Order: sequence, then C-alpha cells, then structure tokens
Amino acid sequence: MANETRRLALVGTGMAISISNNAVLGSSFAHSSPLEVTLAVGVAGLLMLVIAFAFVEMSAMFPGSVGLRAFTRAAFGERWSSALTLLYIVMAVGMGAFEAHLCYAVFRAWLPSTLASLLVTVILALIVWINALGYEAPAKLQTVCTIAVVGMLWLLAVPGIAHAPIAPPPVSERTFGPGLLLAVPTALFLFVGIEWACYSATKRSTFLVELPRGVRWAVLAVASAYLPLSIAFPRVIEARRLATLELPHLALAGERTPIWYLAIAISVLALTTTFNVGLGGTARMLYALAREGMLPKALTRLSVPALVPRRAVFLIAAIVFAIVPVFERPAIFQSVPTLLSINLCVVYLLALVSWLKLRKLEHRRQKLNLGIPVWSVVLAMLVLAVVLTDAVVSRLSAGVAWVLAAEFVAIAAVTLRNPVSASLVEHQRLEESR
Amino acid sequence: MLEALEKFSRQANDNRDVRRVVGAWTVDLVLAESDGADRWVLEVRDGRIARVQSADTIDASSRQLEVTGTRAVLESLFSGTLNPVRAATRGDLEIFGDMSDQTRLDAVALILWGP
Repeated sequence: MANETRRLALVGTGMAISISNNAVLGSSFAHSSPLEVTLAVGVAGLLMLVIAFAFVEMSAMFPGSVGLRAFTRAAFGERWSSALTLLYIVMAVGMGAFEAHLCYAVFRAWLPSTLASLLVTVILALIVWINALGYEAPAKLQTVCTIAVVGMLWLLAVPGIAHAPIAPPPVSERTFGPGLLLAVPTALFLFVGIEWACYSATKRSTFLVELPRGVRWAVLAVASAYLPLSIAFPRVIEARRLATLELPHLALAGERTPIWYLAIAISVLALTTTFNVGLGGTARMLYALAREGMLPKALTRLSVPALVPRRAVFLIAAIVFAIVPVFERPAIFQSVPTLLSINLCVVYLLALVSWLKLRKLEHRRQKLNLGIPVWSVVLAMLVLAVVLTDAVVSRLSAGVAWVLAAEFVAIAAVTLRNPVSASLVEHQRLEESR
Repeated sequence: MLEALEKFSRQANDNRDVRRVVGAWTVDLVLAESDGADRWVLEVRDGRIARVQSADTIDASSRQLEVTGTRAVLESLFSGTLNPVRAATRGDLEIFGDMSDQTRLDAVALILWGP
C-alpha cells in the first residue's frame, strides 16, 4: 500500500474506531442473532463505502477547502452550508467528549475515580499538545495508534472466538431476516468517521487515486476489527446482558486478566485516534470559518513556527474538557447516543442530498467519478432516515429535545449573520432560464 | 499577471512578519490558469520569493504548492482583493499541496491583507 493511501486509511480508520463502538455492536444482539449481526457489519460497511465515496467525489470538486462546507454551499447556498458545518463541528466535539468520558469509565473499573480522571486529563492534554506542535506529529501518532488498536481488537476477539458458546441466544429460533434489517442501521455507526480521511487529502493525485483507495482500506480495516468481535461477544456474554453493557469489551475480557488490560489499552488508543483526528480537523474547520468571516477573527491566529490554528485547537479542547464531567449524570449520558445519532443522520443525509444535486449540474465541476450507483445512495439515505425517525419518534427525551433546541438557536445565531447567497444549483437554473 | 506577482513578491519579501512566520520555507508555488494555458512559478527559497517567472515546464521533482483559477481570480488573489479561503469554498480556486504549505500561503495573505 502506498504511503499516502496508508496515511489516509489510518485517518479514516482511527476516526471510526471508538470505545462506544463496542456498546453499539453489543446493542445489536438485543434484536438480532449472532449471524445476523455479523452479516450486518458487512452490509453496513458497504453502505458506509457509498457514503464515504460520495464525500470523496464532492471533496475532489473543491480541493483546498473544507469539503463539507464547500459542497453543501454549492448544493444549498451559504446559510444552510454554514449551519451544517457548525453542526458537524458540534457533533465531532460531542463525540470526542463522549469517548473521553467512556475512557474515564474504563479507567474507573480499574482505578480510583480521582486517578481515572487524572489519566484521562493527561491523555487529552498530550493529544492537544501534539496537535499544537504542527502537522507531522499528529500524523505519526495516528499511524502508530491506529495500527496498534486494530491489531489489539483482533487479539481481543481471539479468546472469545475460541470460547465454547455459553447458551443459544434467545432470538436464534426466529426466522432469519428481520434481525438483519434491524442490525444494519446500528452497525452503520461502527464506520462513522471514515469520511474524515477527505479532510487530510491535499494533493491532486491524492484526490483521484489514494483517497478512494484509502477509504476502501479504512472500511475493510474497521470491518475486520469488528467482525471477529461480533462472533466473540455472543459466545462469552449472554445476548440480553450484552445489549445493556456500556463497556462490553471489558466484560468480554474477564476481570483482571491479561486480555482485560489489553481491553483497557484498546480504550486508550481508541480515544487517542478519535480525538487526534477530530481535534485537528475541527480546529482547521473553525479556522476556515473564521477566515471566511463567519466566526471571530481571533480564531485566525496561527502559531509560529508550527502554523497551527492554536487558538482553535485550544478552544475545541476547552469545550471537550468542559463537557466530559457533564456526562457523569446518567440522564445526560444515556441521551448522548440519541443526540449524536440525530446530528449524524442529518449531516449525512444532507451530504447525500448534496451529492444527488451536484451530480445533476450541467457544468458540473466534478473531477472524479467513482461510479457510485444512484440506487445505493438512495438506499443509504433510506437507512439514515430510518435511524433518524427511530431516534426522533422512540428515543427523544425532553433533555435531548432541549439540547437540540439550544444547538439550533446557537447555530442559527451564527449563520443568520451571513448574507444569503445562491447555490451553484440555483445559478444553473438562472442561467437556463435566461 | 507577472506585474501583480512581482508586486506581491516585493511586498512579501519586505515584510518582516511574513519572513518570521514562513521561516525557512522552500517551495515552488505553481499558479495555473484554468481559462487559459499560462502558468507561473514563484520560487520560494528559505522564506524569500527568489524568482517569479512564466513557466512552460514545471520541475515535478521539487516540492510544489499548486494554485489553479481563472486569470482574474489569480490576479485578485495576489493583489489582496480576494480571500483565498472564501474563494476555495466557492470553488473559484483549487489548491493542491501539503497542509503546511497551504497554511503558509494563507498566513502570508493574512499578514499582508488582514482577515
């Protein structure tokens, strides 16, 4: 694999592999059989490939920009694009904080709470420091940690796969099929974040060759990390209990065994890879929005000699540090997955709508055609719509509704300051009508 | 176009803040017209623009930062009337190169013409 392809694959893989993924995978066993869950991981990987390829194609149309900001602007115009970009940043920050809290929960299973919180603080602070050094150090950190975490996830699954099955899962008698349909939308969340590889592509050849390859490898790497676990989990942990565990990877390992310590190391590495990519990426997005005049000019300050938007890095880090303790409240902790699901589905859905709109542009600027079938994009949108509807109809608590409302008001306050501008699609319609 | 680039070079080379920020930057800044066939190269050596020239062939082995846009857009960019980040977001400008090189170029624009 070429260096650039490997680098991009590791960015996407590292962003996708997270501590919460273990609980996501575990929750699937409540309604689906082990075989259905394993198949669902494969199907979800294909769907994520479609979503990530759509991001790749659209990012290739706007090299040198923040992809999501540029292509949603082309599809929907200035205000919608600003709002979506801010939503994406909020979501990434929320995911970073949630992962940090889960890492704290992992440490707390091992150490006193003071030491656990100190360790998480040190890990986050180290990642912030490395990101403030420049662009090379975070890339090296990402390479080492992602390779290590994927390898360790394989190792974690081995004893479970070798373990004699505890009892037949309660859903095994049911007809095969409905469980697969239920598990696919959940499994899609295992792959979330792979599209962040697009924000690290900077060269002409990268957009055309290495980025699509890197995204493919990232999907394969994430699937290869979670397929063995989807087999191992139900062999060791009873399905109903598995679905309720916050940290099933710790339960899989058995307490204080060498594998249990491996599961702790996996948690640290997963936090590192997610926060490392998220911090650098969101800081660059904030910098770009500030350079456009949408956010305060103070965020355009670059550090010398690293030329990193250090203020943006510190702002993101400060928000994450401030949010993490809030997740200690059970009501808030339990509502985070719903909140993130809603945000994520909205962003992905609108990104895919952008793809549908931009591919119709007559003078389309598209440089890259990966041959994504329209039906596959529509299918991915359908799955996202199902997740979104489920989150809004079945799981929307008063707390989540209030947070969403606050998010909406804050984003609206920023975006409404911007002038209205027509999208590329509207420009074309105007030209055609003349 | 050459006139605008030479003026930009003088401004950048004479500015202490620019030289402090870019450090020992060495890159070939390749500017390519999207509405024509003309290309120009700004040879940046040790933080100074050593040479500005119209280029028929580009030395692919050197470290490059490539900026593509219409002639009008490129002229506006190097005369300070166009915000590069906004132009890239609108798709008027395409920038290819290492992130550190892209940031350095933006930092120069930021220092010379403000946010």
